[in-house]
Amino acid sequence: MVKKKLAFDDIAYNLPSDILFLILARVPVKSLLRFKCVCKAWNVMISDNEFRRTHRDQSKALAREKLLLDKHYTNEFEFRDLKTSQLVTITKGVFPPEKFRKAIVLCSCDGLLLLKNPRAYKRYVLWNPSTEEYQTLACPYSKDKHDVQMVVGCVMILVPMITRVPVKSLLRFKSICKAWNVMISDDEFRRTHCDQCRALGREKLLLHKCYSNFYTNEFKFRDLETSQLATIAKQFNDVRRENEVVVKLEAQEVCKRDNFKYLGSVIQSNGEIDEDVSHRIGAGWMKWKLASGVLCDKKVPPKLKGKFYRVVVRPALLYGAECWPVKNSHIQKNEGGTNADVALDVWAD
Amino acid sequence: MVKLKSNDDKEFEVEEAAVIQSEMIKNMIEDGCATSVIPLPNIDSKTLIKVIEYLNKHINMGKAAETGEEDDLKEFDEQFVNMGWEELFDVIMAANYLNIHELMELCCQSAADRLKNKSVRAVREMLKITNDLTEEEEQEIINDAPWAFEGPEIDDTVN
Repeated sequence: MVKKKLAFDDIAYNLPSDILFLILARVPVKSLLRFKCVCKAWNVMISDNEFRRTHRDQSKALAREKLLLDKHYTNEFEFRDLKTSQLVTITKGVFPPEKFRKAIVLCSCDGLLLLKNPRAYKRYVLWNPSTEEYQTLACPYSKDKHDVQMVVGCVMILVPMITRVPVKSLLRFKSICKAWNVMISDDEFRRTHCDQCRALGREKLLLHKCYSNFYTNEFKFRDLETSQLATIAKQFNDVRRENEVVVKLEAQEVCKRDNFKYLGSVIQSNGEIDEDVSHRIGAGWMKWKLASGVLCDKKVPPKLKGKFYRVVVRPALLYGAECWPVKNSHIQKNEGGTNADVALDVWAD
Repeated sequence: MVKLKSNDDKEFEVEEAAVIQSEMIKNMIEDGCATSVIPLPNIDSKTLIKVIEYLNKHINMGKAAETGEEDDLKEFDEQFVNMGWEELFDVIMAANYLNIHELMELCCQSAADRLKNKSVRAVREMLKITNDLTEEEEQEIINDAPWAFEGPEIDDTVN
């Protein structure tokens, strides 16, 4: 027999590994595990995680899923093929560890079962019936058994299910229970959800209307799928107050400021421009004082003073004021500023 | 009509409707590079004939579902993949090169069906693979999942 095997050594098919990959992804698990013995290259490929994932997805696509039947009292399991409608027992098995006999099946995912013994609620077992491998799990936090049941259950089946739920409902679901809140707030979950939404084409077009945003604090979304217009009224200030975020720099909490200077203008937390207006008036005054040597000299003719004022004081006073949404109170304030100029002008003359 | 040239300098004329099932040629036609003969340096004429036969049969794939010719098509597919390993691999390589998704699926599934339930020895012989595992390594793999190596369905025949 061994001699015969060697007779085939001379010519091997020149098959690229990516094509072999595609073929092997369609071979059932049991055969695959056996084929690990074929040669080193096959062993490496079949043991690879990437291959396992592809194989799992492929098996699902081919509807090669099997029904696991649980005989409750004898604690025997049997598999039946879903494809051939006649119920043929494929394998019969008894769950190995004594402790978990008479355990109940909580949920299943990708061919793994989560079992729980009703009498020992802090212990769970993850069982792969096809390979007969199992792993016992201790509860991460065991204060409330319902909580834990939910958390473990979530990871197994809820994730694939609720990643398909729209964001708005998800945010509502956060209040269902602690476990859901934890899961939905999880970064990993968010990423999955984001990808899922993109796959489902649930992206919305944000109609960015600058002016209506500025005054009404409103965003408009258009659903790309139904092309309906959905307006989401969002008050900037309210939103910010709702999720007060504490900013920290190396464990030092950074105080929140109501205003700060950015590119020469003052930005206020409430979106107003009062600070900016008074700052500009102040800047105008500073320039006036600097130029007072000329502006207050009686020997300088008024025309020249006017030129000086236009060149030195006014640009400082009006810097960045081109696009202010001005209110009456601001105009009054600014008039106060210019009135003072005029008054000074008069006094200087 | 589109002209295809195999690597042994034989030309084949194929209807455009058939040949655009190949993603690669479809793109070429769309880009306007298929005005003259399309050379296919990776495919010999024997394989190309097979591929064209498949393309012509599947030209009306969409319609077949309505007119009830699905069974007919299924039967053709079954007949089509009934070939030797070497030939099958050639077709897979051609389908991969031409990017014909359906043909790729069909052939890979057929190859997988042939491999499943075979014994290790049978697979090595069928695909002419040299066993480069040491005896200890082989035993280790067997010990990992002994249940995979026993059972009535394991087939030791080579075909």
